Order: sequence, then C-alpha cells, then structure tokens
Amino acid sequence: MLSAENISLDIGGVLILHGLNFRLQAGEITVIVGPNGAGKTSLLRVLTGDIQPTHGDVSFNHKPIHQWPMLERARHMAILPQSSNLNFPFLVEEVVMLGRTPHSSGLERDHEIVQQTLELVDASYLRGRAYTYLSGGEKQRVQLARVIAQIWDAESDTTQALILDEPTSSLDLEHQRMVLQAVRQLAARNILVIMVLHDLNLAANCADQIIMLRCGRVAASGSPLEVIEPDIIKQIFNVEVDIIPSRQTNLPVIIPR
Amino acid sequence: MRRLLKPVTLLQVLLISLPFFLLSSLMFGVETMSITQLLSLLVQGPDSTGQEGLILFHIRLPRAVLGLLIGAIFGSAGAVLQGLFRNPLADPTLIGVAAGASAGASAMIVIGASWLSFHSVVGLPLVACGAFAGGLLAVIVVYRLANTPEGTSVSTMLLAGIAISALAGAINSLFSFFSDDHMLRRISIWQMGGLDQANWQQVGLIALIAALLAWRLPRESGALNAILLGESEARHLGIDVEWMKRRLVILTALGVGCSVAVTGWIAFVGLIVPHVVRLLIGPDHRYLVPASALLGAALMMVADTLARLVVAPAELPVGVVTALFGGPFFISLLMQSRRLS
Repeated sequence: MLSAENISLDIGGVLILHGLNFRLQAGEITVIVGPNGAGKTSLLRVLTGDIQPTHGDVSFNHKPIHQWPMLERARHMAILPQSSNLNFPFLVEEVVMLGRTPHSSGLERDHEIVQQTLELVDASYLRGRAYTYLSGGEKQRVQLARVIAQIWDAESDTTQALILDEPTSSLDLEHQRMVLQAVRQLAARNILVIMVLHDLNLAANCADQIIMLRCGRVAASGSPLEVIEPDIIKQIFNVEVDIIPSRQTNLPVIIPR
Repeated sequence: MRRLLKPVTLLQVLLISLPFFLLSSLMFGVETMSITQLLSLLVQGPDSTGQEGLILFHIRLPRAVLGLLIGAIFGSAGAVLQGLFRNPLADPTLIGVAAGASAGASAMIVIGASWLSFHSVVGLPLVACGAFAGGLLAVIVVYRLANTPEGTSVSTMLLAGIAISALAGAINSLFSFFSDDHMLRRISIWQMGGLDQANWQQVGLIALIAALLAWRLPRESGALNAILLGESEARHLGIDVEWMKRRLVILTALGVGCSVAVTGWIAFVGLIVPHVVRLLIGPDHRYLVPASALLGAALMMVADTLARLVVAPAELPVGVVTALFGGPFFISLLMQSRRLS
C-alpha cells in the first residue's frame, strides 16, 4: 500500500504540490493525468522518495518512504523515468539484466527473467542488439522491461510497486496497447501500479483509479466512469469534448470537439 | 554493433601476452640482451655480477615493472572515470586530474626542497601526497561543474579540464619561478612523463596503490554498470550513489595522483585503453576494468620500449610517445562523436 497524507512541495517559493491525500492499494492501477506543469512528475518523485515533501508524509507498506533502506526499497519499487540517456553500447539483454542489480537470485534465474520480461514488452528479437542503436520506441520498451525485471519475483508477501512516468510516449498504437496489457497482467499479480499518461483514452482503458492534477492540486479523482466527464475535462484541460461509451467495453471514449 | 570478442577470451589473451611484452621490454635497449642471457640472469637473481646484471636489476627491471603498474593504474582509472562521468571522453589527463596532481606534486618538490630540505627517501611519499591532494581537488571541481541531472555535459567537463589545467600550469610556472636550476630541470623533465628515474622505492609505492585498486575496484563494477543509466536510476536500483562516487573519486585520485608524482604526465593511456576494450567486449565494468588494466600495462610496455629504441642511445620520455599516439586518436574520437550527434 502506498499512501500520501497531506503532501505539499515547495521549490524555491513556488508551490508545486498542494495538500495531496490518497491511498493506493496493491493490485490497483492508478493513472495520474493533468496538463503540462501540473506537478505529475514531481508527485512521482515525492512518492518514490527522490525528494522530500515540504509538508506531509508518504508511506509505503505502512513505513515512511525515506525510512526504507535503499536496497530493500529497490527490491520492492521499480521506477521508469520519463527519459533515459544511456550512452554506452550495452546489449539489450544487458540493459534488462541491470534491473536485477538489487537481487541476488542467481544468474540462471536472472536470465529467465530477462527472457520473460523482454517477451512481455515484445522486444525479445532485440536482445542481442546494442541499446545505443535502437529507435526511441524500442529504447522505451527495453527500459520498461528493465524496471519490470526489477520486481518480477514477489518478495515475501510485501506489496511491490511499479511506477511509470509516461511509459507510452514514444510507442506506436500496437505497442501502447501491448504495454497496457502487460501492466494489467502485473496488477493481476497484486503489484501496485502508478502511471502518468497523457492520452485520456488510454487512461480510461486501463485505470482502476484516475487522479487528475491541476496546478498541484487533485482536481478530480475516481474510477474512469466517474471522472471522464465533459465538464471535468473542460475544467482541467480547457478542451471541449464529447464522450461516448465504447461499443465493446462500455468504457468512456473521449472525442475532442 | 557486434561484440568482437568474448570478455573472458580478451582477459586470457592479455594475461598470456603480458609476460612477453615484459620480457621484450627487458631485452631491448641500448644494450640488447638475448633471451637466453636474460633468462639466465633472472634465474641467478639480483646477486648476479657484471654489467648486464646491473643493467637488468637496477635499471630495466624496476623501470619495466613501474611502467607495467602505471599503465594498469591509468587504464583502470580511465575506465572508472568514464563510467563515473557517464562519458567515454573522460580521461585523467583531459579533465585536469593529472594537471592538478602535477601542481600538487611540484608544490611539494619546491616546498620540500627549499624549506624542509628533505632527503629523497622522505621525498617520494610527500610528493605523492601533494599529487593526490591536487588530483582529488581537480576531480571534485570538474565533477561538480559538469554533472547535471540530465547527465554529464561533455563541453563543461572538457572546459573545466582546460581551466584546471591552465590554473595548474600557472601554479607550476610559479613554482618553477621560485626554484633553482636543478629543481627546474627536475620539474620539467618529470612533467614530460618518464620512467627513466625508476627505482625500487617507487615501484614499492606504486605496487601498494595498484594492489589497493585491484582489491577495491572489482567490488564497484556492478554499481558502475548501474550508474551508466543515470544517477537517480542507479539510486532506484538500490545503490548508495553518493558514497560510491566518493569512494571512486578518492581511489582514482589516489591512483592517478601517485602515478603522476612518480612519472609525471603520461597522457591518453586512460582514454585510449578503455575505448579499445569497450569496442572489443562492450561496456560491462566487470570485464572492462580488469581488461583495461591489463591492456594499459601492455601499452605502456610497448610505448616505453619504443621510447628507448627510437632515438637510441638517447631516449624519449614515454609520455611523449603516448601523447603522439593518443592525440590523433582523441581527435578521431571527437570527429566520430560529432558525426553521430
């Protein structure tokens, strides 16, 4: 379980986050959306313990996040940053293997995990290629495989968290869907997932809970059916939209007017 | 891009060929020895009499062993610095570590000679301390300047290196100004980078440092691999990045500083060697660091043998030889990286 209690973040006199409260459960997919500069990435950095909030507390599995020993935290929480710049020609399988750094599960098991996570993101065919020569979308999938490899094996019965900052930003339509599929599989294994997404339709498609941020505050939160509403979207994103239910899933589909 | 060699194969090849480089470095010189003569002298041990025995045990052997160790230190320190800076162009001489170390060392030479009038036995450890302090200061300043959350800025790193080298050069000149003719000659010869003054005392000091690096660096290879992803990524993989940086900065400054204190500048070994190794076996530090140490040692043997043969009976400082090879190599790297970006 990951909970935020009344967190505020003030950087150089600018209020980035303001009084945020929520509680995320294992096995749930939470998607954070909001306009540029709403504080989405800052919120992730506070939740992962990268920066200390000015006020309030973050706790992960009932323990304040900054009290987690680094290695223990790495075994339970994996984070995909918005962009990565790896300039050294590691092979793809070596990059994914780096995700196993905090574990000592043995080389054989680690190789199995690398194979399985690469399959999950449809990148097995890249395994022997040099990372530096991949396209943007391929790099993003390989990095995703790396962070998934980090929490692939359950650690006792403590909840594990997967935190993804715009995991689909460079992906084509097919791979966007595939990544969401993978994320759903992981959530089904009781992993807590938090994602920042820009595409509201993708968010509506996979989220159990959507948190809408605007200017550092929670402007709306709830299930996709509750928060994907024309007036809420107008208020947060300043865009007029129509919303129709999907013919197959009955989930809301957003069409800008 | 394909890997040209398996890492273990490269390590084996280097380990097997290193004794041959060492033997040829012992054989060639103004007085060429035959392999049988050399081996029989080595078997007799340091008690052997005659001119050849003297040449071997007092001149060539300490020199060859010193070159071997210094090459290994520069090779591995280069590999570690490039990992730490997440940039393949970081090199102890380019980013000003060697310059800082040399300023620290010349400060010690002059201060030691004029105020403390020390004997050479006390001198070497003191000069080494000065070089270590200077090198440490330089690497800390460059790292602070060049490191940003998005990675290391190459231009800032190289510019900071230039600034520090210029400053260190000025400090060197200042000390040269205050030193007498004898000191001046000693400082300038030493700055060219040479192994010609090698003695067993220096070998002892450098062997100690090399042993320390050989003991500590292999433990850091996993963390170095992770930090190539970025500092916060490494932190998310459970690595205490601040501590690791501190340890590695101290270890490399110690290695480079003491090497510079003994031999002066030996440019580009720390740049070329890890680069070639990375081309052959990839960037995994578990193999990169030891292979760079071995290849650095081999390269120094070759460079030093050349330095003694090309203008025999005189000899070039080995730093001149490595710079003559390294300069063009560095320029070609710059052109390559410009084409890629």
